[in-house]
Amino acid sequence: MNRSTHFFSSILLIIIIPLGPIILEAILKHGTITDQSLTLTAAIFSVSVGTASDRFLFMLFSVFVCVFFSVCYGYILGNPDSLSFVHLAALFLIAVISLLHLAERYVRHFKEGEIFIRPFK
Amino acid sequence: MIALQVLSILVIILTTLLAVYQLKSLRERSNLIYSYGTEIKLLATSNTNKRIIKDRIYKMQIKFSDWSLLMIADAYSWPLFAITCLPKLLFISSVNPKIIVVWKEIMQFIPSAIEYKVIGEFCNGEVLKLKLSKDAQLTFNVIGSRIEDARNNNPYQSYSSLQGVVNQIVNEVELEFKSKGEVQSTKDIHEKRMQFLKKQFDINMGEQ
Repeated sequence: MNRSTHFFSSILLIIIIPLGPIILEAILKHGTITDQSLTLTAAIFSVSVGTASDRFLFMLFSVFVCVFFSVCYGYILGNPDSLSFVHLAALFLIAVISLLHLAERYVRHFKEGEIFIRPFK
Repeated sequence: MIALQVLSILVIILTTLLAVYQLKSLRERSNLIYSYGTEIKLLATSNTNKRIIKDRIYKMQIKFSDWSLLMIADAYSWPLFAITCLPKLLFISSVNPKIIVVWKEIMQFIPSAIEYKVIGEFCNGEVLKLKLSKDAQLTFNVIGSRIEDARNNNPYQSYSSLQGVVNQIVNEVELEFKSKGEVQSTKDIHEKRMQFLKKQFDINMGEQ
């Protein structure tokens, strides 16, 4: 396996597959995603990417953001009114975290040659 | 509800700040890889003192893993001499211990009966990736770790001095096998060592 294989497999497993459910929802509902799906995805996605990152600040931030969007999810379940800024923040967070992790993985796999699945001791 | 909306705006701002910081830090790391990679290549090609090269590599070791150092050496095509200054050239896969990465000089002392398959190479073939049979793991670990110690502790400049040190260490391993009464292993290692010495002798005579 060469460097690009490690890079693309990490992107597939850490970014693309976890975002599969909301991508499918957006396709099936012609571009609209419910606030519940978005906040739940933002909470789980941020913490999963944060733990996959080797940047401490990123990981710490992702945990706080996860807590915030979990609260938002709970609130939206009880009160189905649309929270426009929460919706926007969740979308923004998912997009930015994906891009940042993409950049981090590029440096880790292409520049530093890190192995994704079977690392060496 | 208003509190959540306000906090959402705060999340957007914090995410932006994090993105700026993260991108800046990744860029610095990329630049560091480039500067160390090219600097050590330049130092090694201009026959700089081994200690200086080792010092540079030890500085890199604070920021990069041993595996990353090997990968940087591979990406920037470090000369042979710089590769032998790397702190680690024996890696065992954490998931599958049958997959190892070793310095090619170790291969010269592995008895013929030991089965392995070369599945990849780094640094222009100076470092090899192998798939070992079950019996081979122990032999590679015993011989490999001893040669690694010798390589790291060799104080001399040249590659041929390194080969001399390696020969000395393998001689010790041979004597250890002999004292344990392992006749076949002793014979195998002795034969390999003699072949290695003959090869070195031929090379040196050719140079003269």
